[in-house]
Amino acid sequence: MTLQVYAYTRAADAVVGTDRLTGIAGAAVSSIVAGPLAVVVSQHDHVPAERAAALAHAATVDAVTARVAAVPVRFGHVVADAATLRAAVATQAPRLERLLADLGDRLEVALHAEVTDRRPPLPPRAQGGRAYLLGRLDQERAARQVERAARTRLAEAARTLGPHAVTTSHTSGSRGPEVCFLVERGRVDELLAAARTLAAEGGVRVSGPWPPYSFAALHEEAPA
Amino acid sequence: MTGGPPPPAPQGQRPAPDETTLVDVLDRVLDRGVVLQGDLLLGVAGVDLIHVGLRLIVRSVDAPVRGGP
Repeated sequence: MTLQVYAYTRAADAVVGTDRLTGIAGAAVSSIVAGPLAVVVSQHDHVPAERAAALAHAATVDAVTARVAAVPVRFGHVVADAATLRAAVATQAPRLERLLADLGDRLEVALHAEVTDRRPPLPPRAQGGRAYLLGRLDQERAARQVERAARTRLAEAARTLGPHAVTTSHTSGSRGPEVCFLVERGRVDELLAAARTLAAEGGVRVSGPWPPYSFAALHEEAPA
Repeated sequence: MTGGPPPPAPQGQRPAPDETTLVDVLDRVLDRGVVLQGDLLLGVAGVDLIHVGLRLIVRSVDAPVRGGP
């Protein structure tokens, strides 16, 4: 038996956050209280390594976040039992509490650069190895130009939309560069409306709101 | 045009995210979100391998199919 971990919440929100929820493979979701925190989990003989499980994880985190302030956990995070989980949480409790306070009642909205593959075609094989390598170099240069242009667009968007958000994070997804906005729950609609106006001009795509995955990271303490 | 079907709707709690794509969901749950580091968490041997394996398996389903005329 293992525990699949979905999210961290305040201990006071343990019941409200998970009442009548189901998780991966329809397993019942519950909370394990660990000091001031609660960990949202479900129990499994085996966590399947499949897309459906990842999507079920996402849906569960989404449902918890819709109810209470929560720190989303990456999919695939399993522990042996409650005692192991409590021990692990105890070592990181101060950071988790700070993270929960920072993320609080906030969600994430993302802008994705729409990247078009404009790489030149490779030369025919008959032209030989040197031509091929030069062709690959040209492709690499073209790809970097496209990415630079995409990041410039996103940087401009971040300046425009930044006043609607608490903070921003520039990152990359499978489809290219993104800028993510951490936004107060009560201002999500405002940010989405502004983002959609920007997206209508072309070059970017809006997604969200999400649980604040892109802002959920435990950082090492700075030396004193 | 967005790619892939939308993820399963949340459990009746709120509307599905705006303009969500399958890839956007997987990007978040596979690459982001908090992870507690350290041996204390590895109650089951090979958890890291399982996690990496999950990423490879789930991602490979979404790998674009190249080729054509």
